[in-house]
Parts: sequence; structure tokens; C-alpha cells
Amino acid sequence: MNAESVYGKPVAPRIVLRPALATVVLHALLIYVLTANFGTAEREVVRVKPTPKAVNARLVDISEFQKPKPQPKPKAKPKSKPKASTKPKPVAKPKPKPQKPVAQAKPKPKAQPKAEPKETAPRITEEELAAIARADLARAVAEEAAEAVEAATATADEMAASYAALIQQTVINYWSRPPSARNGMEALLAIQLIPTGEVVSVSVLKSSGNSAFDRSAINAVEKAGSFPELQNLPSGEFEKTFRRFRLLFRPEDLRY
Amino acid sequence: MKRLVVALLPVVLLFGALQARAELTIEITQGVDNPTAIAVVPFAWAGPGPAPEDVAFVVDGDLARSGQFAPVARSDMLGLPSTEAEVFYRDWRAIEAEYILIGRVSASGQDLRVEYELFDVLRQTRVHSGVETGPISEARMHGHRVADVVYEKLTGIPGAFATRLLYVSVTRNPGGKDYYRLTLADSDGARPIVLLESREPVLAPSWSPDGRQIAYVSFETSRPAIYRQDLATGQREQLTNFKGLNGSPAWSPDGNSMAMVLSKDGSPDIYLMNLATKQLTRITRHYAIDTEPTWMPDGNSLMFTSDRGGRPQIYRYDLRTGATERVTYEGSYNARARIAQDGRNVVLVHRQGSDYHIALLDLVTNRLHVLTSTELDESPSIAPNGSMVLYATKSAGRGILAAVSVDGGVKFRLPSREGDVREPAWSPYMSR
Repeated sequence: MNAESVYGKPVAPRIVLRPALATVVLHALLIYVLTANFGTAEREVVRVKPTPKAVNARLVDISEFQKPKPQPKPKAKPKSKPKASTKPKPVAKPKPKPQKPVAQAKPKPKAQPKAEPKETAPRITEEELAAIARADLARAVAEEAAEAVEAATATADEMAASYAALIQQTVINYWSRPPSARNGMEALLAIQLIPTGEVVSVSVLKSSGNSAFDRSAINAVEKAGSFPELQNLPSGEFEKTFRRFRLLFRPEDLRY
Repeated sequence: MKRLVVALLPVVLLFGALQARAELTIEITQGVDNPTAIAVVPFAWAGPGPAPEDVAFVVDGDLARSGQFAPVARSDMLGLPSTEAEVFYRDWRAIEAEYILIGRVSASGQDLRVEYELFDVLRQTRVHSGVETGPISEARMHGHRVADVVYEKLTGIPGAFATRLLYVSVTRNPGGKDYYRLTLADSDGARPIVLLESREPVLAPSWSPDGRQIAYVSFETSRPAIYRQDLATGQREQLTNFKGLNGSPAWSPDGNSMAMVLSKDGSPDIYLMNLATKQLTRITRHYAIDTEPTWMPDGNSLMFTSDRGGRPQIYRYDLRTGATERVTYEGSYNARARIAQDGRNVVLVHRQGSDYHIALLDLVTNRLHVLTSTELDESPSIAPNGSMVLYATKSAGRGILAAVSVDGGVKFRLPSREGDVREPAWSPYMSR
């Protein structure tokens, strides 16, 4: 009965009051949003919904996405189609904000706060996000390192790669490019660390030719300052790989 | 754990590939692009009486408005050094300033001397030092020049703070005729100077490429006519007085000719006037309205607005081949283009629904980015360094000037005292 009333017709407002149904409605809406995103005709409709910006920046374990997906997918298609055919026009044409259909608008504010705490924290600043991302990765790396020692399956290479990824993510979070930066520019830096993970030397091996760009790369490393997680690394590994290494700064995500 | 290994596989492979070489290389291909924290310490004043101008304040304001910098509040500064010996990097690192600018201002006769030094706090080195000198009356301009240098050193793009704005302000006069004032101001809207006051409309101010002269349309003879005026001497010359429309003067990049719109031969068309001989060449010949000409920086072609396709769109006329091609296709209204000095970015007025926004058209990718979200935006004018777009808009029923960065990320309004402000024109780099 639930399934029918939800999928057959527009959702009646009273359903919102029932938590179980609200959850279903929320899922349905989420599916709708997700699937509608891929349809070309419906851009306007999708844009109306404030999708949380923070998600872009947060580093999330892939598992978070993998779990919910398989179950909503089969439902998604039959659901989105009837809606898609009736909705886009009235929503897209008039001024987008005030004229949201009631059924669509209502469940959102009510249902979201209930469902959300499970997965995403409320608004977080960019720095906090960076810190979280870093902490997450550090924890993961540490866990992995611990497992690696026990299981002896992970090779030294894999372990080093994990730490390399940690350094990479940390530096990304501190790299603020000047407006003259262009995709494809390259600056190669030589980095020296001591076993505490502290950066003791940064120098330019190959300049990008743009001094502002080079300086931004150096400052990203200087701002990161240290990678204390490397203390968990066996000293042999540290000496072999991280005492000296190189960072290649080559933006790929700029507009030009 | 397996998932993590899979997720990091590219890194693993990269690492594996690099094992052959001696050193690990980690690639950084993304960033976050936050504004740079800079501390602009109040400059020390060595002279009699109070300082004629807070030069550091001008620099601070310029850098903040660019959106590329987040200046440190003076109240957060743990000291106010004015010489290198007084700079304690630890203090500045503690408040997370990445750069610090200090300076000293002194006067000799009618001249002001501004010495300044820029330091990199993280690396504890001096990035640049320089001196600006000039008349005391131009103290704010010295500040703008210092800001230009700092901006260029830290962003890799020349600054455009030491430039001027032209705009028209209209003071409503209930029961009588309105006052129109053609006004010149600093790039931050400060120090407005009225160049022309008239009870009849003044329109379409534009700059000569060297920034020494301006052109505009004035109705002071009760009919529209194009004038040019020398900024230093105030000398004026009436260039046109044709029947019908005389409008939209646009100086060619070489300064020798001026594109304009005349309707003397029927519908409005684009003409070129040789400024030395005053000879006219007709460029467009179409029964539709052709208007708002603007030059590509190389001077080889012009863009203009035409409704020859039924709706106003931007077209380009090639002066060498005489060919005309349509430039804009997105949307039903694109008008009043202005082209950045790089010849790549075009700003224009773009209609979306019933609203008029400022949009940026990238001529290489052919992508149109809408930059503003206000409803009645008009008259975009782009800074000579291509970083900001100035435009006119409405706020609380009043015409005001606002600016937006070309990436749409930074927006600010320029202060205006009273009346409606419209038709801004950002100067080229000013020759000193």
C-alpha cells in the first residue's frame, strides 16, 4: 500500500508526518534528484534544489556511496519517469523559487534534518573540512599501516603509497593558486623532511616560469608545515622514500 | 582496507613506476584557491603634521576588493613595523598572514615619497621593495600604484587599481529638468570630479586608448552629438552633428579613428571616423539596427549589437575582409559587448527570462557564463587587466555601479552619493 501511494501519485502532505513514509518519500526524492540530474531536459528543475556544496570538498570513503546505491537503483527508473513528464514545465518556466509544487517542497525541509545526521554533519568551514579529510585519511592510513604489519600482505610499496596519498591530499588542501595559473603549468619542488614529518627544506627544481605560481606551490608546502603521520612509518621506509621526495604541481581543475 | 588499496591504486602504480627512479614524485593537480592573507601595516609618516592620506588604507582596500586577498585587520596586528628590522615573522605567522607589506611616507616640497617593502612570512624573505613619488594631491594614486605592484607580484597579473572610472550620474529634479553629470573617479569610486554638467542627457562615455581623452554623447544642443574632450586641458571638440542618431563612440586601439553609430542614411549603422581628417567610412549597411560598436584589441575587427536576426545579438565585422559573422547564439538577447585586452573574454548584457544579467563569453570555448544575479544589469565595462567587470544596476530603485570578477566569485558595489549612476567606463592603463 505504501509503495503504491508513493509511486502512483503525487505524495499527499499528511504522509510527511509518518516517519516511515517520510523516509520513503525522502529516498524517492533523492532518487528523483539523482536521476533527473542526468536528463538534459530537466536542468532547471534540478537547479532549484540546494544541494549541499560541502560534499564537493569532503573526502569520503567510497564505501559510503556504495552501500545505498544498489537498493535505490531499480526503483529509480519507474519513479522518475511519470514525474518527469508532468513536472518540468510548470517548474522550469515560471520564476523557479516561489512556485515549487507543494508536494515536492514540503517533505524536503522536514525530512532532511531527520535523515541527515546519519551521514553528513551540518555546515563546516573549508578548513574544518580539510582537517576532517586529513584526519580521515590519516586514520585510514594508520589502520592500514597497522594491518599491514600484522597481515604482512601489504607490501612496503603500498604502504608508502598510502603516505604519499596523505601528503598529496594535505598539500592540495593548502594550495591556493594565483589567478594567472593555467592548466598544464608545471612546477617541480624538492622537499626534505625529518623523521618527525616536519618540512625542513623546500626548493624549486623546475620553475613553471610564473613566479606567482611557483610561490603558491612553495607556500602550499610551507603552510602544510609537517606531516606528523609519517612518524608511524618504519624508519627504513622513511629514509628510503620520504627523507627526500619531489612534488609536481600541475593544475588540471582550473577554468583555463 | 581493500577499498582503500583500490582507491589508491593509481598512486600505487605511479609509485611503482617511480621505483625505477631514485625519488618519489607526488603530483598535485588540484587546489582550493583561497584568498591570500596579507597584512598591510599602516605606513609610517615622516613629515610635519598629520599624514595627508592613509596610503596603506588605500592599498588595503584595493587588495580586498580584488577578492584575491584577505587583508588582516589592523586590530589583529601584534606590531606596526615600518622597517625590515622591526618585522618579527613569528608574530605574523601567528596571525596566519602569508605576506606583510610595510612602508614609509615622507614629503619633500609638493612631492610625496612612498617607500614600501613586501615580505613573504612563510619563507621569511623580501619579495619586493619599491618607491612611488609624485604630487601630494595624488597621494591616493600612489596607494593604487603600490597595490598594482603588490597585486602583480603575488598573482602574476598586472594590477588595475591606478586607473580611473567615467560614469554619468543623474540627479532628478522634480518639477524641473534633471541634472546630468559626467564624472571621473578613482577605480574605487573615490575622488569624484565632475567633467561636464548639463540639463540635457549625457551618454556613452568612452576612453581614448592612452587614457588622456574621452568621448561622449551630449544632447546639450538639444540634439545628440559626439564630443571628445582632453582630460588635462578640458578642451572640447564636437565631432558629429548629423541628423538623427549620433551615438556610441568607440576609439580604435591605435587611437586614430573612432567607431560610432549614425542614422543619417536611414537606419542606425556603424561608421568609422578618421579623427585627423574627420572622414567617415560606412561599416554596416543593413535595414536592421546596428549599434554599440566595440573594438577587438588587435584593431582588425569590431563587434556590435544588431537585431538583423530578429533579436539583438552580437556580431563581428572584420575590417580586412569586410565579412560579418554572428558571435552569440545562446539566449534571445545579447547586447552591448566589451572585449577584454586578451581578446578572449567578452562581457555583455544577457537576458535570462525577464532579467538582464552581465555575462562573460569565452571566445575560445564559446561558453557563456552569467556573472551577476541582479535583475537589471547593464553597460558592462571590463578592467584593463581583464580581472573585474564594472556595470550599472538597480538597487532600491536607484541606479548604482557594481563590479564582479570575471570568474563571478567576487562582487562589490561602488559608493555613490545621490541620484542615479549609470554607464560606467573603466579607463585603460593610464600613462603617467
